[in-house]
Amino acid sequence: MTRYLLRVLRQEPHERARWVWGEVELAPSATVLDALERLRERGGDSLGLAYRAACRHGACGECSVQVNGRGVLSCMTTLGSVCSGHQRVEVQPLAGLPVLRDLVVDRSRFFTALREVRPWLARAADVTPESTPASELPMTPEQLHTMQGADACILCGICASACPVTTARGAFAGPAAMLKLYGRLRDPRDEDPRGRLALAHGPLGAYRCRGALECTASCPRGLDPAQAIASLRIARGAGER
Amino acid sequence: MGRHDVLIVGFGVAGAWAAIAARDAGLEDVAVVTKVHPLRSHSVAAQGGIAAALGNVAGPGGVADDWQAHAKDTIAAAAGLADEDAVEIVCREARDLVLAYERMGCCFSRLPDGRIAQRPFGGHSAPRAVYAADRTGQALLHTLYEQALARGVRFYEELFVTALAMDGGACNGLAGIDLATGRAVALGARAVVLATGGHARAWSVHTNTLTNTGDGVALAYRAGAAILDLELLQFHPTGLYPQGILLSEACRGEGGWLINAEGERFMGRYSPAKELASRDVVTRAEQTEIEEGRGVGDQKEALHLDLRHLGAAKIQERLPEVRRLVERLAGIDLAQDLVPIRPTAHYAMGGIAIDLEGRVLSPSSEPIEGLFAAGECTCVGVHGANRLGANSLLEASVIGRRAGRAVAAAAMNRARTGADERDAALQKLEATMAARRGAAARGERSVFAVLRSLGEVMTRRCGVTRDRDGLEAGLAEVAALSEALRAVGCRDAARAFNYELAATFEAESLLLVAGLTLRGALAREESRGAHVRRDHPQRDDSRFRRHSTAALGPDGEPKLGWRDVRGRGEVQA
Ligand SMILES: Cc1cc2nc3c(=O)[nH]c(=O)nc-3n(C[C@H](O)[C@H](O)[C@H](O)COP(=O)(O)OP(=O)(O)OC[C@H]3O[C@@H](n4cnc5c(N)ncnc54)[C@H](O)[C@@H]3O)c2cc1C
Ligand code: SF4
Ligand code: FES
Repeated sequence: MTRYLLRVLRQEPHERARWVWGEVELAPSATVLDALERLRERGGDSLGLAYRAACRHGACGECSVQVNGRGVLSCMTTLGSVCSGHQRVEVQPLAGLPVLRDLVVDRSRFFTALREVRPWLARAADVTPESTPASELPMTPEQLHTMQGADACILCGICASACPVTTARGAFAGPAAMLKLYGRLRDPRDEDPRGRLALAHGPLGAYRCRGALECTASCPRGLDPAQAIASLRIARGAGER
Repeated sequence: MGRHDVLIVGFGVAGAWAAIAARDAGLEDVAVVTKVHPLRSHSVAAQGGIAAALGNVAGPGGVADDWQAHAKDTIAAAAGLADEDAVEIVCREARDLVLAYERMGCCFSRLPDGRIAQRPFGGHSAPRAVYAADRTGQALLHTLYEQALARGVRFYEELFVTALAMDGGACNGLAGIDLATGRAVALGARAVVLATGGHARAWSVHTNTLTNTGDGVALAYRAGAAILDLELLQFHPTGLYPQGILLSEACRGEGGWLINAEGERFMGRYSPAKELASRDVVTRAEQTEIEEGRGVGDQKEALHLDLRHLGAAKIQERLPEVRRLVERLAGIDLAQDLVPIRPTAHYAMGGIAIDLEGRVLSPSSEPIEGLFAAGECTCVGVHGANRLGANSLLEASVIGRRAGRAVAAAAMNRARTGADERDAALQKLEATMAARRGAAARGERSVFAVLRSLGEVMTRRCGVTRDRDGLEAGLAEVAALSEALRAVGCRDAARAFNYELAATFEAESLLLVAGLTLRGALAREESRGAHVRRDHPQRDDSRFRRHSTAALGPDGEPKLGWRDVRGRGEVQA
């Protein structure tokens, strides 16, 4: 067991943010999420501490916060990994999004951007997948691979919150949405490559990126949205499939 | 007050399919209510696969797979408690369902020739699990979410449903807490589908998402539904010590060994299949080792998983996610060191009684008007006393889709009724919230402490092995905790995102489910599948080849009973 000192940024709606301090005794393998849970349970300055979490093992993307200034999944960030020596952990809400309460932010911009890039597979023929398809649509492992891991993105929002263009409220749809868009452009089953390219090269699209590369540096899944954005910029058609 | 044709509570794969199918059946106005963002539903965390007899990969002996073989395996695993008509429907529709997922854009792993890849899974006689690397649930759920967006399905996110509005035994809406504002809201509908997932969170050591608190079971129970087989809860053999987070079935599938404190690879003493025996067998063996003092760790309540002999290269190729998880959470490189693991509460075989179209049934097997359910919160009878891996995403999807079609048909024939009941439900909820919010003085025992105690009670009294004394003690402890819950209230007086207030409602659901589970475990005086009684070690078909049932009695207490297992019914091969 180690004693950890946490400093957590709290904020009630329409009030000013304030730091609260709390001490927890936990093993270094305990996570920041475990520590938040302890603090909330204890009450005092942390009474009602609001944070989001669900799966507890890095699969759902619900628990993103900033720890010591970096966007992370709190459930996958052990106390031992974020504080050596000074034994203090600073927890804040994700950057660039309105705070609703404490560590809970308003993610609607992030999900609106996702909707705007139309991430669903576009197929003219089968609008209703309810009708029984007779066979599979072929897709090779190589083709899957060229999607750059778009299918592995959990939409945690950490990249968007690290991106200086997205957080500056430019029109940019943001790195995660671009990654999803790129995935569908490369998806051999998709029947709307022209629409995809129009979005990629349009006002929300890849040319808004200024190459800060913060998205790739921050992604907890080790994905590379910056590379997908660079590829979207130079994509000229579906021929590269 | 919002009104819709159909309200679907939950957006795991079951609720998602219900929404999409209802929409495609011609209903204009389908709305989904979830207490977390839809993409954070527990289904997203499923790893290994979804079963379907596509036959894309040849099995042992080159025999082509078919749905009959899948049904046979499922029935064999269920230890006498499968309802065979349900098994047939689910295994028959599996192929069509997987193709529908793929047509909607799901990125399954592929064979070199472009067809969908499949892999072996414990208890399945052929390589039948369709998968997307080790994130199958994510691939499925993200696909369904995209499709729901494309169809303009309306979402009420972070709305926690706490009550159904019932009009003379028929459901016409619901009431709940809008977490963002802290306000009570009521929504009307011609019919409601409950797809709220499992409740393994009642145990302190579990694999589930934090939001899996048995709310759907509690809602249906209060509405007069029969609740089946809650004592049948599957424990998974490889939960990471201490929290119980799931280490994939693939750890054993790829050749991992289980080792006790004496350094012995003990599974050979329990089963010729060793580590590859079914989940219930391995879990029970682990529990025996622990109870007989051969556990490892400070508390001697863990065992070791040994993967070192696979070598770093194979581990990196086959188990990258597991390696990352163990590295991040336990600081252990499993290519170099032993991993402490323990049995962990995983999957609820039992749940709300429904028919094959998702209609919720009363104890006399009459449908409750306007109320449907699907997914892990239900018991349609596919898994019996032991679920096969990869069968639950399948069952939840198939029955979710059928429920969606059925609820659409029901809604088209049903008038909107019952604004009065919704007003009543709303007022009752407002009063309860006001009484709880800010009720207890600071520093007193909190609802979180009650939940923690409940987890310990269930793990100790109703774990992998059980006996009468322990179960009776557990029942008394749960009663005491229910008493304690009434006293603690909610210390937090805030409105926005008052999770402590939500936790008081979750604790109510969990305590109800825990009480019913303990009662069922007491009544089932035998050992079968996942349910092991130390004091009744034999399976007893003459008395217990039946589903246990629990329903709300007229005195407010649960009334227990039994229901026969269904045979093949009208469905023919
Ligand atoms: C770690 C893990 C791995 C697994 N791997 C596999 C696998 O490989 N293959 C397989 O077949 N199965 C697997 N399972 C089991 C499978 O994931 C689940 O059984 C299945 O996902 C359940 O889906 P569902 O749609 O019933 O509910 P869930 O996905 O649990 O969704 C429940 C929904 O209900 C909502 N909800 C709950 N209560 C309320 C309320 N009061 N108000 C409003 N909304 C509410 C939630 O927000 C959520 O949207 C795994 C399980 C675990 C724990
Ligand atoms: S790309 Fe990475 S950081 Fe961005 S949303 Fe997806 S998983 Fe999160
Ligand atoms: S809680 Fe799901 S990613 Fe952290």
